[in-house]
Amino acid sequence: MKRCQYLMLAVTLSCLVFSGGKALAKDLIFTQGYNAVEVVDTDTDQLRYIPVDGFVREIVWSEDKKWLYLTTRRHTIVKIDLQQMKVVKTFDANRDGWKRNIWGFVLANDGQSAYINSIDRKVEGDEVLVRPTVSQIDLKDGRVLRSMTPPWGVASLTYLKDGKTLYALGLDLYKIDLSQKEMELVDTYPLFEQQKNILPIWHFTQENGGVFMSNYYAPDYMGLLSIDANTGKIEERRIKGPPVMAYSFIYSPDKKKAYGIMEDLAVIDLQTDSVIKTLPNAEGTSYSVIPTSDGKKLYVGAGGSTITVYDAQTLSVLKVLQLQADSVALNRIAF
Amino acid sequence: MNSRKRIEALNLKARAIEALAEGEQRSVEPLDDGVSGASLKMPVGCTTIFDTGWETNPRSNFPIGNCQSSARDYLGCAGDCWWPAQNPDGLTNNPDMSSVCNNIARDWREIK
Amino acid sequence: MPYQWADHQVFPAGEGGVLLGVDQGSLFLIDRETRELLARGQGSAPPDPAGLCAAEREIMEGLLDARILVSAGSGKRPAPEIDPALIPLTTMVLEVAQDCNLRCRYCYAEGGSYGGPARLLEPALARRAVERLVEESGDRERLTLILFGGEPLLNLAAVEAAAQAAQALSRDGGKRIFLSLTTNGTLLTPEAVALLKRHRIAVSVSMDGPAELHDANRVGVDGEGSYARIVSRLSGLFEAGSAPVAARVTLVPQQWSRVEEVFDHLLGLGFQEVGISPASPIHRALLADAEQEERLFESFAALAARFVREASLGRVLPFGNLIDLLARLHVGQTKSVACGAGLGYLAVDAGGSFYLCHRLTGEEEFRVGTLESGPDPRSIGSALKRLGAGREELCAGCWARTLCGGGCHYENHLRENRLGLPAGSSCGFIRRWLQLGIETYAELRAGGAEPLLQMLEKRAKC
Repeated sequence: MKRCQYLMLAVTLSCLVFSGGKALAKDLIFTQGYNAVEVVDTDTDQLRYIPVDGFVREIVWSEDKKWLYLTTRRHTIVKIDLQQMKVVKTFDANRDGWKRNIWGFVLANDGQSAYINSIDRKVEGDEVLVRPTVSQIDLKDGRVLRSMTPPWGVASLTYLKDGKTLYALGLDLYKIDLSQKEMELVDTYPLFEQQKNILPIWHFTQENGGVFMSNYYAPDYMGLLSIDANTGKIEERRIKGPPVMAYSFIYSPDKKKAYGIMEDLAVIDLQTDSVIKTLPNAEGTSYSVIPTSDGKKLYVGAGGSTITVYDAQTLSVLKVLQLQADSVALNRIAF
Repeated sequence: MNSRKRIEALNLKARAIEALAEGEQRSVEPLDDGVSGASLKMPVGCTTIFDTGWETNPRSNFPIGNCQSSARDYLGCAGDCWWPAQNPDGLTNNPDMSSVCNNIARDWREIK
Repeated sequence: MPYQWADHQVFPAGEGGVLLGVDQGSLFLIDRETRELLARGQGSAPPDPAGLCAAEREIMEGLLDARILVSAGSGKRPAPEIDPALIPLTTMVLEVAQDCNLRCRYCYAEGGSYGGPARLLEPALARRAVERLVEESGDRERLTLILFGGEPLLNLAAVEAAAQAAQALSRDGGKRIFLSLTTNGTLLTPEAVALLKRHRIAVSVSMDGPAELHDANRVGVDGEGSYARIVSRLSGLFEAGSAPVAARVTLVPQQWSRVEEVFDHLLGLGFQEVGISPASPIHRALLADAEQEERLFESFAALAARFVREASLGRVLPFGNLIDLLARLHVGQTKSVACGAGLGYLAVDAGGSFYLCHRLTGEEEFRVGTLESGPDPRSIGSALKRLGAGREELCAGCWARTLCGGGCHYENHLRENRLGLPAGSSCGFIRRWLQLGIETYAELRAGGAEPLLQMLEKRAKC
């Protein structure tokens, strides 16, 4: 057993040494902008502007990193060619008279379809119908392949790599079985009745190497909920000390730390589950903090039209990038 | 609710005040329609209990005493309405809000 | 968290009491312990919850829910700034005739002419007045035109002209104009009754009860009582039967011990509702002494007790004063001003000038515009300011302020500016009357008069 651990350590060390010679990965950061996606190359901090129609909310990308999918206006889906950095397709997810507001958006294994959760609205005669849905849609045109009604409040989805399970997170965490013809809610992992309140909007599953993470607040502490999409493991960590207020948390690349952001940037040591440091944001309210793959820099934004770049070690501000468009959170693809 | 026996609403105004108080006693509770058994009728994106926006900035920095996010994230109020700011809604009535002005600090004069 | 008392007043009732939240006009029934705790807290800060037993803490929680106990530092709600320019006109009193065939001894309008020469409103001006009402009514759809005098039936041509204009404008303008008319009843000829019926004009008749009481004040130019003349006309009006006919009673202090008798007599004549006002003290001889005031209160209290008994039998005693008060108490209506004068309600005299209200007609300082130029919000604002001067300080400590609103402008003007009485000379009676209303309301509640209360709710909201 001990020998095995040494072997692991050796492998890890050799990786680090090997990667020291050349760039580990190239990181591109994407803004969830208003009528735009702006792309930051973290090597040069050069910006590229991709105009899109409407405000961008969810950003996901295919495993092979060829395609980027966005939701805009919460109901259109935009496909971007990551080579060309160009919009190649746009389709509307509103159909059959239902207007959709898409919140969670994940790509399925088959490369052809995606799972979304949405709040749908339709007017029939004098009556307004509103319903929550989780659907599998065809990525060619938005056609609904199958759907089910989850509990109210679902705001994001986690798709397990085995392709058989979807987790939907709202007031509680719901397990949806995808393996049968019809999707079916098979389990509920309670949060709300335990007084755990979660804002499950920004989770950075792809940045975290397939681990969904969201912070929650119990009456006297903050916790981190994670769902490993590779293994299906659900974990709750209780963070010691007074809760820090944050919209979102993300792992450091070595998963030893977690960074949180709202009005302050918070750093949590995941070995002791305690807050190491907090400091007020240089540029105000932000929804995301994104570490570069090498762990050296933090990109904090947006909210307004700036991204603040910090040194991850010292937490000093390296520079402030000026965006053309205001935006919400950031996403990062490591190529 | 033992207080009911000791003090009981007599006129309609008093009943309305009691109804207010009932609402206050609830801290975190789903908005139930009482019919379908569904537990939440709150559209996602509106303020949950820990969501800021209702809170004012306690620090001396910008925006002083204002809703924390409303100043920096003006369009977030317009898009799908995180913040209760005085701002047209982008989901239903003003879908093109962000096309007219996608950078508030720069373009706010364009808003008609 | 430290607390403070919100303004409140307790009225004993049985073992417990009725609690009024002054700012909201809310009424609660409280038990003996709550009443005792409130009595102990009077004039001092609320007790510290830490030093209270469980039962008392429970009371405090109930009071907190009822907004009788509020967080320390909660400021008083400032009185809303009301801008007359922003309030559409919805009620107009039109002085169709500033002349009268009677010379009632307590008349505030000086023989119906309001101090000027006797004159009748030109039919063309009557039409113009109705147009003006519609023009000034903004988005309001339900308007009221009150045909008044003097004796309006002296001028059937103008009544007809106003009613026709109202009908035409209702039809074309998407408005509904309700017409009513107050008459002394002596001129209810078949022709006049037919006109009232044709235009669905609701009628109130001024009558003061049995012949002896009525004729003591309501006399003709010749000094002869008018009772017999009116009674002979009433059957025609009642038979026309388009709308309920109310009697408006004015009694001088010497008559105040006989309110019940007056009330019953008028119901006996066939009136469907009776409203009773003490005569305004247009001269010192009409000022009441304490004894007389006591008699008036006793009579009102006796009618209130009858109202409760009738309600328990499922009937409504048609005592207009009490019904109006109960309706407001039921919904918890509060006032920041005494009445709508200048704020949605104006009078127009026979010469086409606007006045703050019908009772202030003819007083130059309360003239606030003309039919030609329209009501002038600035004059209205300054007239209201003059009338309200000092009232805020006077009322600040009074539990009845949100129910009373400061009292009738004219009545205050008369007492303070004409007779030189100190401000607040009628407050004592007003408070007793309001307390009577609150106690009566609580009794009705205890008796479970649900249909009656629903009727009151409708009345308060219309």
